[in-house]
Amino acid sequence: MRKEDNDIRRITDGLRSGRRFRNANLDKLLQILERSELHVPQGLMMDAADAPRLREIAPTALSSARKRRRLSVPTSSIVRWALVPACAAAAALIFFFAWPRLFRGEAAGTAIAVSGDVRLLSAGAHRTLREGDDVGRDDVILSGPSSRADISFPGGLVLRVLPGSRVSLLKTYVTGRKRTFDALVTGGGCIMRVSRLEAGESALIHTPTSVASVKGTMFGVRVDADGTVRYEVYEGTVRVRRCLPPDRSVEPEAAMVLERYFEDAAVELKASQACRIGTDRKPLYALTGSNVRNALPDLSIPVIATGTACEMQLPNEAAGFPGMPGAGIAARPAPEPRGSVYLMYVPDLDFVLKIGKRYIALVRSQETRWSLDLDGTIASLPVFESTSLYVSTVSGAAMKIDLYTGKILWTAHMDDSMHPRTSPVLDESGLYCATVRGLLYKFDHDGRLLWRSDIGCRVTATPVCSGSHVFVPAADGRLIGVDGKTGAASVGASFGSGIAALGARADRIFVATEAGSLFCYRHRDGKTLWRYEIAESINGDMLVRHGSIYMFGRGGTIYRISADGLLLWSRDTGRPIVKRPAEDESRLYIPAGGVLLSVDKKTGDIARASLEPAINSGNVAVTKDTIYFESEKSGFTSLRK
Amino acid sequence: MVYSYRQTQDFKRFTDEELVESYRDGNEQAFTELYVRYERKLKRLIYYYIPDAEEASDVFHDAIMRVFRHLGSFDTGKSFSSWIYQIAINCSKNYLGKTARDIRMIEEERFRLSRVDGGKESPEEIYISESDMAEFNRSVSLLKEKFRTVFLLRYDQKLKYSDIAKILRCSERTAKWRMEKAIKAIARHLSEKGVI
Repeated sequence: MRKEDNDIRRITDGLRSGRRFRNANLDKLLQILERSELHVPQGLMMDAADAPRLREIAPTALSSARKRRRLSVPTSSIVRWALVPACAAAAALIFFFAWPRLFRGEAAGTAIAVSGDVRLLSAGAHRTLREGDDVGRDDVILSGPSSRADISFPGGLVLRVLPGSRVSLLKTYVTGRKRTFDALVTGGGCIMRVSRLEAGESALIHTPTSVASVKGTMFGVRVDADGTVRYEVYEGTVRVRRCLPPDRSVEPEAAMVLERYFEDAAVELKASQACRIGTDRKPLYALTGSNVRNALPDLSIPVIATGTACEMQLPNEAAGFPGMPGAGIAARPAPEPRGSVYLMYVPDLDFVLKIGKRYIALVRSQETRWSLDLDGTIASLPVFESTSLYVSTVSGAAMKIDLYTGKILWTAHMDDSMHPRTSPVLDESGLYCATVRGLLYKFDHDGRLLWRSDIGCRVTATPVCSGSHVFVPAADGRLIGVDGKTGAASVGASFGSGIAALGARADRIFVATEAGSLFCYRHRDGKTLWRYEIAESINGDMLVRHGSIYMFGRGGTIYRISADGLLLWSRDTGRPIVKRPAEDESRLYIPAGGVLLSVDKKTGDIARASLEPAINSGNVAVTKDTIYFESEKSGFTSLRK
Repeated sequence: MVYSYRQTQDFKRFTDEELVESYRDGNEQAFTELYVRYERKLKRLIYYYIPDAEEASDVFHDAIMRVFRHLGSFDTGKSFSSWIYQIAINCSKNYLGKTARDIRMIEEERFRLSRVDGGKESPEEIYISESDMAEFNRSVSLLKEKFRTVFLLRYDQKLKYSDIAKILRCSERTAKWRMEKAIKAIARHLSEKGVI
């Protein structure tokens, strides 16, 4: 306990003796007072090192302050006094005409069913909520551990407050025929049903960290004590996204980046889908314009639940809710989550490979040549040569598929699972597959195992082939060279931090580390030729083309670095790069939310194409004249270049 | 002019009033030290009055310019910190007076309080939600100005009641009474809103 807080504790203790605060939780008040601090944006706090420049800064700041004030008070006192009666008359007129309309717009809800102990905080007073009571804007509904309340609002909107919840009603308007509803759930949960909304209408449910916008649906939300949020949709569609805290405690510059990131990471949940938003590893108020981009991986975004997590949990607490299918609603297989489909262009066939979680299809506009369901989940992107496709699954199977027919030619099994980010690697002598625990397998083109080598460390990225060796990145920062003929392993070099991506050109291996360094390693003599610092974590994709290395920072910057380690250009796309880049001869194509970025490889010039609906696939496939992608509503879509 | 770290460090042992005298003797570095000592404190204080980083920064520079201008007439027998806080509060109030209409509109946004421990539950497992914090912010913003000023100087700036009394030109007892009233008003508001 800090000495200076003693008087705060003394005063709080003093309140306990008074009747006024007999029922108040003064321990909580003390907690709030002791565990809070007044927040000031960091931008305001000029570095003290600038103090010697005070004489230069102060006069400028003073003059700008005076200038601003002059602008804010432009009128002379005579004009100001003349304006007073005019403004008063105008205000009276506006009030006279608008008053009845304003009050007609306020739509109070009615509690249609209440069970257990539900309290209503309205106009600063507590009271028990009973059936038939009105509930309106600014009211807070608190339900006990085994209590609940159903509230019906005009316009066919019904809200069920689940046990142990706190729901604040922020907006409950019906202006003319337009409905506007907004509620904040800070603890527990609620289920909402609303008939289809028309243009200009809105129904929102906020939690402290997220917001769900509704188009006409039935859905539920639950906020756990640790801040985790879960949304479940039973009918219709709900759009869920992270949002900034309402107290504007995030720095404006960081807020701008976060808004874009949250917008890009928004998900649309359809019937029988659920999503979860975890807690952030870094608090938002600690983010500034300079560190926000590197902190993005530490922030939670909505993740659509898969497997057993997609089973609906809230309906069990909501039996009897109007229109609810009933307790124990059967979880239908959730549609494939957003971003899980990847595309690859096969030039020899002029078709596009569509790679889902457990299936592969060869498609073109309006045409599906074949489709194949697999037993296991596909690990990362497959590789192909001419008309043969090599796929590995997370469960540890490698297979060869005939691209003409879609038939599996052979399947080989490994003793370990594949890392979801490592693809198989192909050279003229065979196929290499690196497993999670560090086993490297080599198969020939007919599926026969040639050798198996133990790297002795977890593999973090896709290996690369160079000369007669295959180079495997280890989690501890080592680059391990393995002889392609014998499988004998030797340590190439160590790069300090974990390796995020590898690229190769002739006898040079380009190593990008998670710490944001790019190394050029010559395996012929084991020398590190150069090192380039990008001071940003990269998203795990690296392209080596025509003597240049293209790297993609998570924060949204693309780098082109020459084979000699010189920065040729870097471009800030303004959006975090989460999806995989695709390329053709002259350009890179990167989907980012509702925008497709097209980057000139030579100059770095960026062209942006806004796409509605947004790209849903994890990448785009680029042919000579067409760009293929998957979108939420239109499915497989093509776009003329 | 380049200041070495060592030179700046030497001033650490001086009191505020000694630094003022040193500045009057022609040592400009003394003012720099005063600036470093009070920059963050004053900016925080001003920000509670003017909840806009840019405007608060302007008012801060205005206050610093006044300190600059009147440092010659400052009585070193009195407390420098009380004097500089007085100037900062007066500058803020003047600014508020001139832009009262705008400020009223953003009254709700004046205070921003955040949890020190990043939202972990306390040992007593009292759950303080974001909305509780928002309500606390609101309760501070609704305090009468004389109570709010004492609350800020004591709660945030951690000033002694004797210093607060000097700054506000009231008795120490009055400052304590105002602090008590401020906490009572906050407790009343939070109780009415069901937070505590």
